[in-house]
Amino acid sequence: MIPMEIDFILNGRAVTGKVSGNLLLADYLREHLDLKGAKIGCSRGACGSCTVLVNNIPIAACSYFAFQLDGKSVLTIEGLERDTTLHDLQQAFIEHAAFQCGYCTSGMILVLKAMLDHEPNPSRDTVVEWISSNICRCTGYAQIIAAAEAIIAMRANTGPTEAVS
Amino acid sequence: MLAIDSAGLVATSFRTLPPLDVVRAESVGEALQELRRAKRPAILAGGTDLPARFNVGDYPDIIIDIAKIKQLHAVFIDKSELVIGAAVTHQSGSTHALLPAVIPGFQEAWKKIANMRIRMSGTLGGNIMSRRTRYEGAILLAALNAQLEFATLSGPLFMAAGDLWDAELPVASLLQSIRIPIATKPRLDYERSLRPIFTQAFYVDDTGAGRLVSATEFVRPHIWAFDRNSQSNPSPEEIDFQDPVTGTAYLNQVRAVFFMRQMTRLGLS
Ligand SMILES: Cc1cc2nc3c(=O)[nH]c(=O)nc-3n(C[C@@H](O)[C@@H](O)[C@H](O)COP(=O)(O)OP(=O)(O)OC[C@H]3O[C@@H](n4cnc5c(N)ncnc54)[C@H](O)[C@@H]3O)c2cc1C
Ligand code: FES
Ligand code: FES
Repeated sequence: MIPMEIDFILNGRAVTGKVSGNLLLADYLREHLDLKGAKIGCSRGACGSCTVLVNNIPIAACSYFAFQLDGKSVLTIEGLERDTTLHDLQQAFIEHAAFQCGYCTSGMILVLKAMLDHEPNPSRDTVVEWISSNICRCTGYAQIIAAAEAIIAMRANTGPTEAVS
Repeated sequence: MLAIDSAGLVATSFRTLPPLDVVRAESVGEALQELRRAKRPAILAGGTDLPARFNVGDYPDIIIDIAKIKQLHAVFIDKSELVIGAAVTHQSGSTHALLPAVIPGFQEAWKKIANMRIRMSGTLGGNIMSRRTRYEGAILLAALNAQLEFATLSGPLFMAAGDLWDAELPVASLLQSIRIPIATKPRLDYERSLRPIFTQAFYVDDTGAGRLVSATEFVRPHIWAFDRNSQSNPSPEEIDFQDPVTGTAYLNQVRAVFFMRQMTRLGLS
């Protein structure tokens, strides 16, 4: 098994890496790149706690090989804040108490980021449809939906803002 | 920042995956040659089902990634067939502009499969080729009388979607496309409110031909073909489902209820 060289964009920065064919993206991020935001729950693509965005599509990093990143762009939760300023979704999660243990949170925020990039003015049903990709065992989802709706309302007034000051 | 070595505090993903080679095939021909050479190959499309294979110890020695094969991503009409490439994702396929006009009901049915994260990566080909009785792609396609087109080393191989569950395929075979006949103006209704215990796809066309595909979780779905011209008020006969988990009497009851609903929704009763 010869390691493969891959070129990709990680949180906005160009990266060249060497990966073996059987290395999973979740392990690559967590163990090789020290990005622990993507959490591992089911290892089966079901719970969504390991969600990252690859080319702006939510992906379960536990079910995705690192080599598949070649030529693509990956965003993890660590890449969301700008110069120590939280992304507006992160801020909304804090304001709406949209997490308790926090295990699902990075995945939920990234799924919602992808949703807003694909559909800037989604209905509540659309929010529910997107977050149904991921499981939260603490909140009952109501606060997560509230956080999403707050961002949708805010952006409707002010336009998209990537970060709050 | 607090420095904590998290090893052991959080679950890690399965690192037991043995070493394997990777081929990122650029063409169907290249993929077939690799399939021929390999001992235990796995084709990688969207990769949303493969981990389930790994989790039960079914490890490949080579992964053949087919994502770069352009022809597998197309949706088009070829004479009297709707052709869907095997690597078309649930999301891009089910939102394709061609669908609503050529097969009313197919878009609504396809959109119900899985969740947004899975739909954006998972492919129709991967769904079918997982060959799990509860997966919905083959249920819909069996109702629609679709043909599956495989590339094999000895040329193309065609198979009815409804035959795939228990068919033997050549080792080196790659599903290329799904071909759905549309000349007779098919319409589809799909009920999955009890999934995975029971789902049912119902097809009728302008000639009066109909197909009902009744699927339980663990056994091969049952296909019932009928002709409204000879049976003006068709009603499905009882089936001995033999599902190991759900009782046959219950399944037949549900089947009849779904059938009535579907007849109504399709304007047939
Ligand atoms: C959380 C979750 C929810 C889901 N919900 C649903 C649901 O509601 N309904 C449903 O039906 N399914 C569901 N699925 C199953 C989902 O994996 C499939 O719907 C998906 O379409 C599989 O496609 P894939 O491209 O990811 O397949 P892959 O994982 O890439 O491949 C699956 C299998 O098919 C083989 N294969 C792939 N492409 C080809 C080809 N062209 N030729 C030959 N062999 C091929 C692979 O080798 C593998 O054995 C769910 C899965 C998850 C993880
Ligand atoms: S750990 Fe990846 S989806 Fe659950
Ligand atoms: S906050 Fe605990 S799982 Fe969602």
